[in-house]
This record gives sequence, structure tokens and C-alpha cells, in this order.
Amino acid sequence: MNPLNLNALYRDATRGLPQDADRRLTVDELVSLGHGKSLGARHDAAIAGLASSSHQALAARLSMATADWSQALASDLADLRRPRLAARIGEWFKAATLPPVFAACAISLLAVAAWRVGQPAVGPIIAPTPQLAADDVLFSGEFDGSVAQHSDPDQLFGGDFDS
Amino acid sequence: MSDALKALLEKHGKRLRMLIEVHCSRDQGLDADDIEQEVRIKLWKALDSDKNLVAAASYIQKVVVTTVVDAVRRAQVRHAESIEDKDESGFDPSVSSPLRPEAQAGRGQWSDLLMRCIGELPERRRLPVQLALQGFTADEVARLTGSSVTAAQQLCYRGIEELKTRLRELGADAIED
Repeated sequence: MNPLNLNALYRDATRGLPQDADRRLTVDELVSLGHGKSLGARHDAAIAGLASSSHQALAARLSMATADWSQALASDLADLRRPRLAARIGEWFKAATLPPVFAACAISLLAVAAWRVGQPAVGPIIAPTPQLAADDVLFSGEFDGSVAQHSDPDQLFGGDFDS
Repeated sequence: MSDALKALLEKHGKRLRMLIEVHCSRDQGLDADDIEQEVRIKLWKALDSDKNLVAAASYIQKVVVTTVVDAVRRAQVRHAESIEDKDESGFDPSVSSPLRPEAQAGRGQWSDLLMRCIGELPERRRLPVQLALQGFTADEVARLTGSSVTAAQQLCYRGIEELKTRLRELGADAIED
């Protein structure tokens, strides 16, 4: 006699879906269980449904096993679908309805450029700055405040001034 | 875009096929290649027809689970039809069967005995043992039943040992670990 494989025997005995409709799981419930979420009031009946149906158990095991895989694929798909920079600028350009504004700016710039070209070239007038020689320095010495503070008016001209 | 999408689905498809092979045994009538190909085609069609579709992880998972459930149903129908064919044709020596009729009958008998023994297990061990026999790991049993991993391990181990003891008492010479 071949050795008994309890797993194979039990799965064979529980092939198919449970007779009790309450123990049948929807795809959404299988996915929720795959994410480790509780099914609330349905949870116990759902777990009994997994125990009593090898087909439902298989779907639930695969749902659990593919949770990380689905996450990785979703992430790669999001990267693949994310538009490149040039495409994003193009989209923004269209969405912002800027072409008429840019066209108006371009026409204005052209008009200004054309007007500037039509004008005679006039260079800026630069006033000559006088250069001071070294001996032109008017005040090179330090101002002596003591003279200004002198109280006696005659002392200023040696006392010979006769008003 | 289409080539990049195709390459991406092919790359991830290999890992999906490996996961299916690990979890689906051939005796369940499921083919990992068929399921992987079907998932890839479904995702391809959905993503190619709707450029704005945001393929969230839960959406992808739903595609996988739906495909597996459909494959299981088809396998169930094939299994039922093969049983009917055998019943109608009777014994045909030209048709090779994986198990001889007496072995098949013996397997059915052991299956019934196993179900009876499971029914006799203490209630707290019954559900963990049933889940373990369905292929759930102790970690998954703990997550499903809301117990600790250590508790789930002990309940499964003791329950299965009890089943083996009982089946040996009923005449099972050898039981696989």
C-alpha cells in the first residue's frame, strides 16, 4: 500500500465549492483575505469555507502569494505609464491654453524689434569727466576746528583790523 | 509603449508562473502555464484598450484570482465528466488509469476515514488542521484565524499527529509526513 498523503486525501475529499452558500467566497473576499484583511461578520463563515473547499483554499492561497507580486507589477506599470518630461510639458502647454498668449508675445517682440531696426543708430552720450591734477587739490590739509572756535574777533586778522 | 508593456508583462509573468507552480499541484487539474498566459492576456487587453486605466495592485490581484477561480471551475467540470465517462465505459483495459480500481476504492475509503477522524478532533484544533491540510502555512493559519503563529503551529502539529495516530489504529500502515 502507498503511504497515505493526508493533504492529497483531504483536498480530494473537499474538491469543489461548499454546499452551504454562506461559505462561498466572492473574488473580492478572496482578494481581501489575500491582503490579510478581516471580512467582519462574514469572516468565520469564510474561513470555514476555505477549510471545506480545496478550490477556494487554492484561490485564497494564490491571492496571498500574489499580493507582493501584484504590488510590484502595479508599481512597474505606473512607472511605464508615467509620461516623460517633454510629454508632460507638452500636456501642460496644451492644458494651460498658453499658445495664444505666447503667439501674442512673439508678435509684440517682432514689432519692437522691427521698430528698433528702423531707428537711426544713436549711441549713448557720455559726458567727459574732468581729470584733476595732483596740485589742483583745494583742501588737502586737515581742517583745524580751533580757528573757528576762536572767541576773539580781532585775533583773526592779527588784531589790526579796524572796523 | 506596447512593446514595453509586453516586455514588462512577460518579465512579471515568469514570477507568476513560479508562484502558481508552487501552489497548484497537477492533481488539482490546473496548468500554471495556462493560468499565467490567461492572466497576461487579460491584463494586456485591459491596459491596451484603456490607456488611462490605473492598474492598482488590487485590480491585478483580482484578475489573477478570477482566472484561477475560472480555471478551477473548468477543472471541476473536466473531473466530473471524466468520472461519468468511466462509469459509462466500465472497465477498459486499454485505458490507463493512475490508480487501479482497488487502489481507487481504497483511496476513497481512506478519504472517508480521514474526514471522520477530523470530525472527532477537538474543536479548537479542527479548523487549524483543516487549513493546514489545504496547504496553508502556520503563518497563514495564524493570520486567518487571528491566533499567534506559535499557537497555530502547535494546534496544527498536535492535531495532525492525532489524526495519524487514529488512522494507524484504523489500519493505515504508512502515512507521509
